[in-house]
Amino acid sequence: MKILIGIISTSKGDKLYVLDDGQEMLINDDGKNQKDIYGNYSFLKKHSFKINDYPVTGPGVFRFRYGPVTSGIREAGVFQLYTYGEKILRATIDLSWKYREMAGTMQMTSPEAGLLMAERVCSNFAMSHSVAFSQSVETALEIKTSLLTKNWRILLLEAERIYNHLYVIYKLAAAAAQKVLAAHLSALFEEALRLNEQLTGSRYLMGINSIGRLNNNPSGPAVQKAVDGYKNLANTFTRLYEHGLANYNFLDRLHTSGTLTPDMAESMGLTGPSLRACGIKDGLNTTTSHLISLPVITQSGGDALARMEIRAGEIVNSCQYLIDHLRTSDSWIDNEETQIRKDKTGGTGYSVVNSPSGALGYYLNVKNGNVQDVNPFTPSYIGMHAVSHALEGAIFTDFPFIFDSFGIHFTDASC
Amino acid sequence: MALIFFLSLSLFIGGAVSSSKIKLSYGFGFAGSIGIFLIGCYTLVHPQPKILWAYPLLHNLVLTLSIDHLSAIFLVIAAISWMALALYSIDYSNFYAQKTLPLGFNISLVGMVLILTAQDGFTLMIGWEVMTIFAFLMMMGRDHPFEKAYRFLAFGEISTVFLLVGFSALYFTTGSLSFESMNKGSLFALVMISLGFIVKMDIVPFHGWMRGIYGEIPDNTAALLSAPVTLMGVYGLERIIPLLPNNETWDIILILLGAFSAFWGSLHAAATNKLKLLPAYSTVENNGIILAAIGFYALAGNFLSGNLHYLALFAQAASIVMAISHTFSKTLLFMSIGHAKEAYNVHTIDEARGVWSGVGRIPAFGIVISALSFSAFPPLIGYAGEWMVLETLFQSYRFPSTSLAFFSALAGVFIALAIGIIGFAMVKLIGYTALGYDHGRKSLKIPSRLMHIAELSLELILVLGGIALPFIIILLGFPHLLIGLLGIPAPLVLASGQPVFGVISPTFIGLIMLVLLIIPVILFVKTKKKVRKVNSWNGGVKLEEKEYFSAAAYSQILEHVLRGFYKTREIKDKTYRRIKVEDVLIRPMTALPRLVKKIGERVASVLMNGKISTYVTYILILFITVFIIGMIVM
Repeated sequence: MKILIGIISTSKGDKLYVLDDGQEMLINDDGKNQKDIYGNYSFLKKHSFKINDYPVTGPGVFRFRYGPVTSGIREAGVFQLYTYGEKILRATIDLSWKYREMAGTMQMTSPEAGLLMAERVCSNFAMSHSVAFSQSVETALEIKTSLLTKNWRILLLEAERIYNHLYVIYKLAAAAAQKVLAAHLSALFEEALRLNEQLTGSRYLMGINSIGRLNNNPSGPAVQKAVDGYKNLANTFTRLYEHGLANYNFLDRLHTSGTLTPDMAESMGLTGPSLRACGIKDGLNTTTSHLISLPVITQSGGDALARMEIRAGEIVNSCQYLIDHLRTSDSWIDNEETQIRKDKTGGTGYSVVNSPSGALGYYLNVKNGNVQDVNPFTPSYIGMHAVSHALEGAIFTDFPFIFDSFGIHFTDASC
Repeated sequence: MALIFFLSLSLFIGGAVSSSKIKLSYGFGFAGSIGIFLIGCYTLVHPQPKILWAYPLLHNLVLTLSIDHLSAIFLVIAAISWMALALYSIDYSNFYAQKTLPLGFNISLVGMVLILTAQDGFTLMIGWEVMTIFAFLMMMGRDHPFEKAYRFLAFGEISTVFLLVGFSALYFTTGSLSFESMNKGSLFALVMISLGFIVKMDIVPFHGWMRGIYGEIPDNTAALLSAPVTLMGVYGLERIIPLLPNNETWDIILILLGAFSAFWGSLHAAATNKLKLLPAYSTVENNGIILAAIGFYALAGNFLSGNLHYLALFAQAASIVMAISHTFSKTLLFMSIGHAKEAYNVHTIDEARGVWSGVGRIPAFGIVISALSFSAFPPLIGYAGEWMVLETLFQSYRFPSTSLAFFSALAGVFIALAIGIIGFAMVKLIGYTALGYDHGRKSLKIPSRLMHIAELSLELILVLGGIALPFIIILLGFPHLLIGLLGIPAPLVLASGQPVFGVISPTFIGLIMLVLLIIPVILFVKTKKKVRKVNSWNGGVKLEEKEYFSAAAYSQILEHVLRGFYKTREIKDKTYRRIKVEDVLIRPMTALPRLVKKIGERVASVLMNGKISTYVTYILILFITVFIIGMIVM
């Protein structure tokens, strides 16, 4: 299965950034039949900050503007919902309010300075951006990272997945007025952030990753404490989640809300939990010789409930994954040492990671030691198109369930 | 009294004759209405029946005009509405300068006076036809006549046909058309005459003519059609119900028909976005409630037990209070809406936003007060009327028969729903038109002193009418329904049953509200509290014109939830959407003209096809048919 996640403009013409069963590749855009092959080709080519900008008119139809600064949306972004009262006829999403020209700012900086910027594109996905950016630079400069670094990056991406998924489920519970469940999930989210801090010194996993290496490898009592922490977190979450699933008021709000068919999800270029909720595997999980492969969970509903189920399953799996590997991390023998080519000061690199909400990739050039032509491809930009589509025909009260279930962010989408 | 009566009629006729001078013509109408009002008031205080005029047309048919207590009640109600409308129309004539309007207005008032004072079926039908035809003439007051107005005439004639058949049946049974002979009338006469009045009250399914017409006709015409003209139907029922032999099944049909009409009218009032269609459907709703109360009055009147006799009288009082409320509130609502509509030159609720700031305080207050009255807001008279009807229906358990109790209670359910839904509709009207944001829209400056006087008068009457309910109840002839209770002195408490079932005292509520209003206002003025105003937060960006919540959107949830009743459909393409709701009960009414046209075309193609032989055959068959019928009749 080929999924188009971005289109890159280069001096030699446009290139399609495609995932083929999880393996990234660049294909020259010959302009022929691409619209037929990739359903998201047109909007990725246009890459507009106004998504689905086709106003609806008619007697009684008006535009309900939700944002840019309003309760319910934590970031500066606008949903222009065309409606005649309850039903959402069209959802135009304006990303421009959060546009900070991050990719532009990364140009002509050193890879290390660019990495700092990449980590700050979207703090919830800081590790994903950091790993994707650094791997792209490493590819460009032909830097070979050590096995230990690869292991820790994979583990920390799972740590990021855990707290993000907890946050999404907390948001869904809060939107359904499940106050007690939401409060407990919020506490677990905080616990996950503290575990991050215990492992890396940063609640949002910033500053630990670097080009070709980690700034410091977690070790010693902190790791063992984290093992206990993830064990508790998994147990508490499992208990809470089972309790939550017993509540029909909660499930009814998610069931059939924002349903996407497998065809829609695939043609939009969705990846991550949103695609897996439609029963399709994206093959994004990566592993090393030290680490066992994570099982991939899928659901068939394609709705907000299916997306939540995927995330819940992944929280437990990721916790178990971390518990199993953190326990043995002290005994890892690094037989692949970091190799840096001093003579290499330029090149092209790209890399994709499995972020909490799907494929997150970078394409960049390095010239004379400075990064250029940085093109980030985020799950949130494609996710916003999916949200816009899923909102059509829904009623207003379904809005938070649909939007939150995709686990995407304006900052990530508009970088 | 007869002198004032005929003087008033002469003034109406004078108004009609001088219709070329429009303002003078309405002035005549106003003066004539004052005369009728005075006669009515005098008779309310001195309720002995008085014959005003009698003319023996045939040996057993004496055309009689007389005034009794019931006539007086309805003459006073109608005259107040006429006075307000005449006064309003003087200023309003600046928009509609057609002579047919004052001509139709004055002569239709003559027709209504004849109806309200007739003592025989023949005179009543003369008045009925005069009212219908001249009201129709008023509908043609625009620059060009329009086809849909003929629907009103068609329904008017259906009403007349029912009356004609009913009174013929009465004559066939009793040999007289006098109301005095009605006690010997048949069930058939009862059904036919009742239907004649019901059609005029716009009860479903006889409301089919309204759509597409109310928005086109002048506002004073709309007010006349919706308030005094439908009041004639109420009067007719109130007049014949105690006279004709009663029938329980027919009474239950009246109650259920009224209750369903109320529900249906409220449903479509809540859905419409047209400025004048909303009050028009509210007429269907209000008259439905009135019909249910009259049906209950007739049903309970069949029983001799004390508490059901009390209930019958209470139901009758309820129907009359509702009629008062409807006539005044609807006249005021149409006048105020008309004022705003002409000042803005618009047709929909969305377009007429911000009457308070954009057009004026008095018309805005008129919309608020009348809409609140329809929403049963205490202490307005609408509140008293709707409470009385609900209290009546809640006491259906007093009937000895389970089926009677069940159907009455079922009607209560429909009416309770109707009152709730019409409140929803009226909040829309108040919220968008009267108190909505004017969006900086400028209204036309129109001469409106007399319009203001007319609107203000009815506003006062609606407020004071509720507070002075005991006084009205006494004048209506039901003093025994008033008691004193829990420290509130007699006769300020209205009791709905015997033994006491429910009580209200709008007077007391009014006093409490007055005190609660006055004290805060005094405190506010004395302390000179500063008012701190802030702009509402709209996401940090100024709202654009297309971002305001529309009136149609307000109703959409109801149209979706009750889509089974509304037959809600969504019409859509890529960039265009709209919700379509349908009044399915007018389908037969719209299908009928199509059917008639189709049959007509088919018949015409067969008979009027240009062949001489066909014509000759046609004439021959017609001649033979008429000849045979003539022979049979002879």
